[in-house]
Amino acid sequence: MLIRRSNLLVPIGDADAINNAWRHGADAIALDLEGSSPCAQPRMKAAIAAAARGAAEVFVRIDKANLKAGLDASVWPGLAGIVLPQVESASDVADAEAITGALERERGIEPGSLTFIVLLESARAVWNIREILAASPRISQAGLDEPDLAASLGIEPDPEYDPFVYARGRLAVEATAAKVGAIGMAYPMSVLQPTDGSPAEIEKMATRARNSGMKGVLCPHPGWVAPVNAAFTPTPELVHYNHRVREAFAAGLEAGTAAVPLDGRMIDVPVDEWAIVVIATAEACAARDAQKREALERAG
Amino acid sequence: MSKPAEIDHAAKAGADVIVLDLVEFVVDKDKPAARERVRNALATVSGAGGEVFAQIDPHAAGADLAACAWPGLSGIVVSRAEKPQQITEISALLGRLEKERGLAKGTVKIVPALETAQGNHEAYEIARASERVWGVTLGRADLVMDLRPEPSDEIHLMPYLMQRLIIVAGAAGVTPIGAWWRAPDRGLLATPENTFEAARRGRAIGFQGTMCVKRSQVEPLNRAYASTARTASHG
Repeated sequence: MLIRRSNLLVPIGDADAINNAWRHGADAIALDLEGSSPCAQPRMKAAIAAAARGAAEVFVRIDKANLKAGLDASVWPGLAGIVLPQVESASDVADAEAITGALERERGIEPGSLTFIVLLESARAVWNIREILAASPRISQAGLDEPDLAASLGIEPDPEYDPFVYARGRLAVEATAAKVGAIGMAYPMSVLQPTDGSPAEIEKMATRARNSGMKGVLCPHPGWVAPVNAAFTPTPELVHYNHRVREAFAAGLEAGTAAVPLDGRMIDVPVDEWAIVVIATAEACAARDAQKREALERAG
Repeated sequence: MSKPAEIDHAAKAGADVIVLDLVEFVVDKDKPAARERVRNALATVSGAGGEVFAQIDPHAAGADLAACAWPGLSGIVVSRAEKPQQITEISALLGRLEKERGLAKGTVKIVPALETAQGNHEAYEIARASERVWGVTLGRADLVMDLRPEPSDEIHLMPYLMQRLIIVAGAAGVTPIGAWWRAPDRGLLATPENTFEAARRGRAIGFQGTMCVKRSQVEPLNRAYASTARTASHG
């Protein structure tokens, strides 16, 4: 099970942010080359190593206009994958795939091991999502870049009217069908992205995102990481309840029935199946958090 | 087009586009007379500075287009468009009429109104069916598809259809036209205030202009869509 709840974006030009990114507890860190100057690129190897100190998966968000140069600067051992912005079609994915595959072979990286996170930023991308997700087995997550999607549609975001209910729903359905994790924050935090959001508010919005099918959030600020991780981690109460669900259901089966009441709720096959998912998610989150904790202790 | 007095008024309403209607507001027995009036009406309203469209019935496309495709016509709204083939056929007919009547090739744009489930199902293909397609709209899908507003005043399924249409329009490179109407102020009878709110909501989700019926609705629509500035008034 892929646990990549938080993916912290860090601008490659900000040396302090790069050197401290590992301290925030993010499951993943995305070094952001989008909009950066090419002179940042020689620093990538060191930046990847710095970001990996806390056991985060390290990604690079490349600049679509400099795809080849960006990949050439970034694909080194230790990199988990690439964030591909402005993907609009299967051929955009194929272009990145070809270059990434060649660099893996050249640089002694296991072929096919680098993963892609695709970002959809236009109506064309949202409409073409099925062919985009089918274009490469490397794609592990997909999300909307809502500020850019709004700009491309001429929308000035109004917090009262969420313009992307359909687009996000399409993402959740198509991504799930393609066994890809949908990522994104709830509206309006998905477009307004405050630097000063309170942890409680961020956790509430991330919980809403999780409850609409999202599996993680690309975090524009370090302050988002802890509340996002919390929102995507099943609480001990939920895990405890779901162990009771599993026990009650197993006892029901023993007694010859596949539908048993528990606390006024009917437990049947889909409820038991969901309990399995919640428990497995909690265990996977705990394992991931233990890895990060050990890495932090080692790094001092 | 069955009410000649409306046409003079429409010219003065300040809309960016005036739509001469041969479908919704014209009963069958009046259609031949209404068609005969279009050519003169085009001359009247096109002099006012706005663009002039005509709304036609795809099942009477031959007669409706022959009546409308005269100098002064900028485009047509295809009521209840359902199939890309309808649009390609209408486009071919327009090409012949433009040639015969001395209009520049490609002058007449097409706005399919996707008012049925079938039309919405093929929305992208319809929007891409001809170079002439300039925009898409849902027309009166809420009525045609029986999407009732009770009990919340939200016209059920319309937010989904609207947001999907906006994505389709963006993907196809055409303009999404509409407003987010709520009961009881469905477009036909909405007050100026509620028209403004419908347009403001519509704009917030990506619409770039809308169609209206009453002249008093033009000003609030133009105000709400100020920076995108596209409004059409039916005459």
